[in-house]
Amino acid sequence: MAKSAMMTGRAAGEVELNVVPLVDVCCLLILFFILTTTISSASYAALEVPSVTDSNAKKMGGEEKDKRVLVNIMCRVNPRKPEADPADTMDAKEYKIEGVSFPCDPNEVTTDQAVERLTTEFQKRASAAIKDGKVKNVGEFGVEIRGDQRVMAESVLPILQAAAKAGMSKVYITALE
Amino acid sequence: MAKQTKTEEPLAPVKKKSPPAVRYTPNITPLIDVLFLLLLFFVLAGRVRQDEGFLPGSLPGPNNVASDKPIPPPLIVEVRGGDIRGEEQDKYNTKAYYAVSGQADSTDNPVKLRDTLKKQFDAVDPSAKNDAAVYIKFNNARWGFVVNAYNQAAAAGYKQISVQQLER
Repeated sequence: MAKSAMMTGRAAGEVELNVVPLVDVCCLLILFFILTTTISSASYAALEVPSVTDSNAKKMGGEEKDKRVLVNIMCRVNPRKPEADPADTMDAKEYKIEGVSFPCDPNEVTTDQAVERLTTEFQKRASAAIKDGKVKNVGEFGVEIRGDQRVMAESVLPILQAAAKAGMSKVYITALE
Repeated sequence: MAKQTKTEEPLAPVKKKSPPAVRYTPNITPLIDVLFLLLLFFVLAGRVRQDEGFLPGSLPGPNNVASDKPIPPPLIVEVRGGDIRGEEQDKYNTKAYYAVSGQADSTDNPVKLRDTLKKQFDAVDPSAKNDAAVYIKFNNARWGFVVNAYNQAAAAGYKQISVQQLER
């Protein structure tokens, strides 16, 4: 609350702007936005990346990033729930490329359909990379598999099949460094 | 004695007293308090993200040219989920076992797997080391265990590593 000039003993006419409530409200707003906003990346979906013993994983350079398509394999369970029931985490829910979802649930699509959709996407991205001069041919274009470590490894096969069908030969597997 | 005449100095102009400057003094103590609370919150609740990297691999090409050099037979690493061994307590495959072809025992220890692979790789003729291959075949295993096997094969020195599903 603003103190009167008489209370503070200051001369009349001296104006004091009380910014304390303003600061309080601003900080509350900041807190609200920090808590409710999640910083998400379209490329790197939130999942449990495989943590390997004595990792030999290399850091990916900027140039290599332009020469590959990143496929996230999403688990059914919320990635922020590591203590989830193991029975619920076995099946993959979907593949995610730049935020676009490609279902892989057998109840929704057959394996052939999943492979077909991924192949089309890979070809589209490889063509764009060739057009932009990032790679010379599709053989130089790769696929990075960034899978949740809890899903069954069978869910990776459609990605490998689609990459082979699209004529890609390079594979990168994401692991913790 | 000559009388000194006092010279009169011109009077300096009287300065008009300016009104006191208005000073704004925001009280920043609550701001600092709240900022410290925010800092404490993030220090306690935040998690530092670990750096991700990648393990390079390659898919078999459609028109591979046969080499004249003798290529050593590929080493097969089977990655099997816990339930394959009939372990009822692990019917959800939270564990995996690595079995290397030609080895009697399987292990769930990735370091032991790497030691076995390293011994096999060291025994390969130096001229054929680049062609020495490892096939990682998985059955009911979770992706993390397959990646771990891949990592150990790469650490042992193998350049040709393939991942495939084990025929059931």
